[in-house]
Amino acid sequence: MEDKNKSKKYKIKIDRNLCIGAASCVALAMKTFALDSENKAVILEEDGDDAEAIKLAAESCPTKAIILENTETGEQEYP
Amino acid sequence: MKSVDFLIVGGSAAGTTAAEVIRQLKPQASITIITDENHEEYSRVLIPHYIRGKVSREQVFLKKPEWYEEKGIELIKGIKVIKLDSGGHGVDLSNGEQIGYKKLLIAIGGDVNRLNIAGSDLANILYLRTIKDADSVIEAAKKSKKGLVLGGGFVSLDFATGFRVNGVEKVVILTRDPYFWSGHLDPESGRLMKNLLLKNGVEIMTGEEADSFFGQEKVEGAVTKSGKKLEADIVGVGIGIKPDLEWLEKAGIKTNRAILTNEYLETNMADVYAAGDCAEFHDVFFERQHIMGNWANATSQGAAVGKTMIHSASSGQVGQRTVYETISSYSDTFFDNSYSFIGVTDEKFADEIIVRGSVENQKMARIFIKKMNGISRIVGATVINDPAEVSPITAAIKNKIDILKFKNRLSDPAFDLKEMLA
Repeated sequence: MEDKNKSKKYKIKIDRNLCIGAASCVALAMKTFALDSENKAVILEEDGDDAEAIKLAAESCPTKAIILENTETGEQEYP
Repeated sequence: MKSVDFLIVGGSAAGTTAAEVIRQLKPQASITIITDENHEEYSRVLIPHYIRGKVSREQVFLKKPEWYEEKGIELIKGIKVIKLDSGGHGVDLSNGEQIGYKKLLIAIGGDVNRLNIAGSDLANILYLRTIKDADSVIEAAKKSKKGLVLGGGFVSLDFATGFRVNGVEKVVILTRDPYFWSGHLDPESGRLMKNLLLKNGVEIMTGEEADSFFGQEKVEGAVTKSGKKLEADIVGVGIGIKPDLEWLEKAGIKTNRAILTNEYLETNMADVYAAGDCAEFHDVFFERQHIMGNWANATSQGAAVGKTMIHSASSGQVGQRTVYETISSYSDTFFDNSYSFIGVTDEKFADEIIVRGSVENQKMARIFIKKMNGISRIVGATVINDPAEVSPITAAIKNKIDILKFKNRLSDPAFDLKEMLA
């Protein structure tokens, strides 16, 4: 568990008003993201996939609804 | 001649995602993206939202020029690739230059099919694919009153909604089909769509297509094949897209409706790959060649093919030859309603289709069932106005769940679809 926490790079937020359920995040990081009953993205586990995959998933979002905060610095890294 | 390690033709979802994956795994490789549009990557998904005024033009853009600089990815804008020499590992560009490559990705998406009938070159006959098209639609709709939309696909709803939101008073959609989306929906669901649209000032005229347009410089209306004369000062045409394949076919790339690839998104030519809307890939899930034109598919194909290209370029030391495997789905909204198409929604492919919900309740799902390798599987679904059904259906498709024992209950809206997954 400790190792897992250590490797957690991002705090992830999803802006539900922006999310349109295009599901590219689910396609690219399916252990981290899923769609809920309103067809909006939700977080399964913040470190479900490796950090690169999560970053790619955020960058692939066509509405920029995924916000990544670096857990170490607390700074917003994307978008 | 200039030469790069990875050359990507097409700067949208598939091409840009592939470039990013390659950069993540190969920090030193040279990567160039060539796009025939004049922009950095933007969100085609947001175009209908932009037309409806829900997002600003600026919000549509996903990448700034600095992103390419930071990543060390060269972006060549406003240039078309016109010739491929796959033996010589090089391409010719529309500006007369040539670029060599070690690995080439074709991610050119599709071009809109254009009407070629009398009067089709009149002003205010519009198409919708790019941000430039979207600007034209908004500008023209604001000055127009009577809208006509040709075609029965997703884009015709984008036109209809976009026209109405920008002040067009009445819109008629002409479709050749016997009812709206007849290839995907049953007549009942088609009736539901018709009612929902009528409430919003959009009329569907079925079994009709335009024979000619009339007007002076600007369009004033159309005459249908059955002789009906319809007035319109703005026309939206959505009759499908097709990738520009000619230059690829000349180079010996095998194509059908799009570029044929195997499950690794490799074409028949060494070191040439295809991804996104222009790829007709081998779908391992349903064992067929398939084109899937949506954003999620394009990004995940870009990611998969990026890994495969690196693997091949670095003698297998980095990256991984990656099978592309996904359940495709497409969801969108029109006025206050939603729809989703999940997996395979081809009536000819399925053995049986089960309907849930009703026109009266304004909610309806159709579940496509097929027996594959002895298992009764859900292979796809169309869902109107019931997004809660999307997730359990997708999970059932993905997990190839044997639904035989639930089959008789699927049509009952009281049956909780999540029970299939327990």
